[in-house]
Amino acid sequence: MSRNLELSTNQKTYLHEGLKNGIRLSNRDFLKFRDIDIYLSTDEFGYVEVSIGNTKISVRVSSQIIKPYEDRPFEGILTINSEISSMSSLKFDTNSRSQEEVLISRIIEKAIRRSNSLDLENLCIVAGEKVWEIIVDLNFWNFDGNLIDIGCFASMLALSHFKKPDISILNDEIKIYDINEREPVNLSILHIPICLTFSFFNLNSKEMNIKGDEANEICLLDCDLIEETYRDGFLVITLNKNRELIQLSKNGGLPIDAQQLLELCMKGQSIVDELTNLIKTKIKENEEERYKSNNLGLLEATADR
Amino acid sequence: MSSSLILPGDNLEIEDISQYKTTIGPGIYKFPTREPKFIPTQPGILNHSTQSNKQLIYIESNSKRYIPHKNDLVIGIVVGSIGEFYKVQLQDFSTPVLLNFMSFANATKKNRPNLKNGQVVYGKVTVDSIEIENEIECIDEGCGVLDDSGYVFNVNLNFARELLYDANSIFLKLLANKCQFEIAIGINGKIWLKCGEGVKKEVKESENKEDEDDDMDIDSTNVKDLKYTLAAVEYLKKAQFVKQDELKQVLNVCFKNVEN
Repeated sequence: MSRNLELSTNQKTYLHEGLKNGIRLSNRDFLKFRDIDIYLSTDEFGYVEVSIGNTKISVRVSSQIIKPYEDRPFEGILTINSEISSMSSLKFDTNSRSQEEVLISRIIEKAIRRSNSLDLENLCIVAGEKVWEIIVDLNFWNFDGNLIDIGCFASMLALSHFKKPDISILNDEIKIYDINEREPVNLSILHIPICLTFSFFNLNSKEMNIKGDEANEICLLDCDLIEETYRDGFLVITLNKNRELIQLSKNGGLPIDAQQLLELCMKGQSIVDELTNLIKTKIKENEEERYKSNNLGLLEATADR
Repeated sequence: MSSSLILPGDNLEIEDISQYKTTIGPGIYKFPTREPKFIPTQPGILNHSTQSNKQLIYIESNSKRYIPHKNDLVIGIVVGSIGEFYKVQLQDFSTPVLLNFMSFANATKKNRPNLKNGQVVYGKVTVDSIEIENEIECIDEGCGVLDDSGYVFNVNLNFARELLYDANSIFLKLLANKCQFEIAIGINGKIWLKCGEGVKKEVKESENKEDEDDDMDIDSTNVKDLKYTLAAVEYLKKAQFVKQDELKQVLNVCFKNVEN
């Protein structure tokens, strides 16, 4: 069996000729995301399915109580598992992780864990003794490009959706309440990082680009499989709604201008705002639906004004 | 001709095979015992037809993996060469099949097509054994190298079969109302399609720049054909999943951007 994805020269010709004339194969604008389809579970917390084009991913968040690391007694632990199985595409081998897979995992991890998007001190129960561990499991179902952006997006969506059981401490004894007994509590999310992957295509000769006089490379957002196969380089920018730049990752490939880097950050900001709002509205809708279906209104102590 | 849904291992309700001469197609397995016995090995629609003392049975289903069978018309991508053969891939992540250098129309030792990796050929399966490597040939009329001006894309196997074998299929007739096109359908789920003249690679720095106006004309028709081809591809990809009465609407949506 071949592990390589074989694409014909016809597809390459069409891609390049199209880009020269400002057309993508999917007839999208250069800096436009595909439509995002979201499913949020209504009967459990922290399970989401997100698909964008033919790329599909599900994320499950779970929690458990463990002993914290010795050097960080006040902090909970966030673990992100993002192994890509061959189910998404045979290109990903389960036995040996390719460079691409490692890169995807590390970028998602950096965007979420290293940026402190989750308040870890809030997960502490008894300092040095017991803390919550939050586990994020990413399952890649199908691969049609852009796993980084969608992986980060889905993880943040799942973390926002997740609620951990309520606890109380009485005389050194910890009681964990069932989710039916007491309303579970949201995680405290400090900010929502969004990754944007920009792919670059060089339609002229490579030398022209290095010299920098006429660097007219083409930049695409949210590439699909064909575009990702033929791209000459890519850049991942992670931003949040507070206009903070969290991560820049450019691992080799086509050199680009510093000027263009700034421009892309600027352009990315509006997309980030859009995606953050999407997460917030979806979570809100889901809450309202749950509120209705579980008749939570009956439990409210305050009078409806 | 009757058809019903069937699952692997179900009882086949067919005429007595000792009295009827039976032809079997995909999805049916014959036990190699003295008393022949047939069982279904695929879920799908069982098609069964009888004619005097003959009967034909096969199962129609939609699978994703293509298994080569003799005389299938297929589209493959050249991925390399080994000895006297090109290696041709019929599907992503499948074992390549072989294509002999001599298996082209009018090929001789001195005059044989020189194929590069990534080029696309239209051929016919000649060897479909599970023990040895499968082989295809490009000798028949219409077979051979498909040029770079068309676009190659994947569809489901049953959709490809319908397009290729059903002469009354509505999909291509509808498409013909919108544009002129040339198509090659491989039943391995690959389709090569071009509208008008398709896409030509830009000729690098043409020697005489006198006819610049002509160049502009070529450029604009090139873009137009490219747009039409992509729209047609999008239509065919979507057509697999919609009901027939929605088909026209899908067609109009796909061609909306192109026609203005």
